[in-house]
Amino acid sequence: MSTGKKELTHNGKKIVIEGDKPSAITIDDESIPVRFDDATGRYIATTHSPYTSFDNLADLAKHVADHVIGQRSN
Amino acid sequence: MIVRKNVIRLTAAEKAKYVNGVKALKANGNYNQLVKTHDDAMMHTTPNGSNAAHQGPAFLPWHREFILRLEKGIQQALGDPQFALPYWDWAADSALPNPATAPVWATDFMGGNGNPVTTGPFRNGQWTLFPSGNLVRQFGLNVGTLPTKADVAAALATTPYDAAPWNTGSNPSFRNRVEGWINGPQMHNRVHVWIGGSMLPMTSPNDPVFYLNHCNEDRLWAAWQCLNPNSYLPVTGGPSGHNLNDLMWPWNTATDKRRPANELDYPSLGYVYDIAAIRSAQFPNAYLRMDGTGVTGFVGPGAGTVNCQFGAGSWEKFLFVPQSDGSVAIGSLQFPGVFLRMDGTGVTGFTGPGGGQINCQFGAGAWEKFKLVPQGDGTVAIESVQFPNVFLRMDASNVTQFSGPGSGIVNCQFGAGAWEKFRLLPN
Repeated sequence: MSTGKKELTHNGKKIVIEGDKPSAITIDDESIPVRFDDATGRYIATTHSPYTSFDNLADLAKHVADHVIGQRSN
Repeated sequence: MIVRKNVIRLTAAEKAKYVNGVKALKANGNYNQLVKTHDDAMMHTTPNGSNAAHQGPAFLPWHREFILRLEKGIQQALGDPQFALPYWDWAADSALPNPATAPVWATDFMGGNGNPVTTGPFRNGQWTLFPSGNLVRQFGLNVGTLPTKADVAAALATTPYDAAPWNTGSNPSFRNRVEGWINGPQMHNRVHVWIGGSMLPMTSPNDPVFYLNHCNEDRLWAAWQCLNPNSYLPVTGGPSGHNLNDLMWPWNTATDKRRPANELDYPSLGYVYDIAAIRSAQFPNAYLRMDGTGVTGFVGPGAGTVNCQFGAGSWEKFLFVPQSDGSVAIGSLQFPGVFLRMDGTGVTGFTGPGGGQINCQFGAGAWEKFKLVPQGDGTVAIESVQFPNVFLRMDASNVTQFSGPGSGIVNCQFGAGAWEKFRLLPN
């Protein structure tokens, strides 16, 4: 089981994931609160996308990057 | 009693009321306060993973209270106590070739898709999110389809209401199935995710369609409650704020207290849904039946047949039509223009076998107007406006199986006892 720091770039956004069950990840330095849901074994972005869950943090991060942060209109 | 209607049956004026109502609340700050309340509720977590409003048993009662507060706010802002929040039957739209063209997204109502939304009353420049930004919708980008009628049927067939561990892992659980965590995202969750954009984060009430979605989930819960009365779980042993008599955050102050127990009897909260079967509380699975064959014009003594049926088909489904005096007319869904008629002449005291006459009328006049009187236990009694204290009575003693012409006796009673109590089964 990896507990290290993982960095990836997705559609131009830098994603940083530290540990297997962190309380937050970052996307372009924005903190994204996350929760490992013991009941389902999946991850939820508790503030940015609380109505769906993901098998792993990388997929969660890509969803938030593309469909939440990437779709903001100001 | 107000009647919550399907968005597809709203008149242009009724659509404008919802639009103007939420804009009035936006202007006076109450709309943003509701967004913040929802946002804060998601941060109010419990040890089992639930928060105050989601991922636990209180999901349905919390949102019943939440949308009621919007509804009452609009009533106050518009000075219209008969305003009723509409519901969006997304399962019906899932069957459309292109759900993005459904009536709910019309330019005189919710407007359409886009980043930002550029059509309708909430388009870019006409609606600002809390705390900032413009409305965004990305239909079908995250999941390709809305929940289906089969999904709804499966949910309504699920018991119990909820189950340990009282969170996203509860199964079988009506609540968890409607919320949408079982093989999710499904049902409620899937609607959020299908719309996408501003409906994805915890500030999702920023999109006024949020309330139409939750009104539909409330309708589904009302239907489930008709079939499973008095069955909220847990009574104790669940996460704080989710047990039957726990105070629900943020309505846990000295002046504002709400518990799941306060939310179960929705007719007592002042509303019903527009299409429902009328089920006897006394006789299991017995429903009011209307045969309006040949009732095509007004006749003084009424016509047709009203009796009982075992189970509810199309002849047992009724349209509740709100009247200007707060009463309702009860129309047949099968026979358009045909309404329940009550002649309570001479019914001035209790008699065992009841009295008077119930049949059909074409059109709705004084004898076809009724008050739905909450009985405090989730049931309603159906009282004549023309004949005060005269109620619809159903004797379904021998109604134990389906019969084509129906059976049993439907007439009038003076006062409301057990045989005059009904549960409404929203369609």
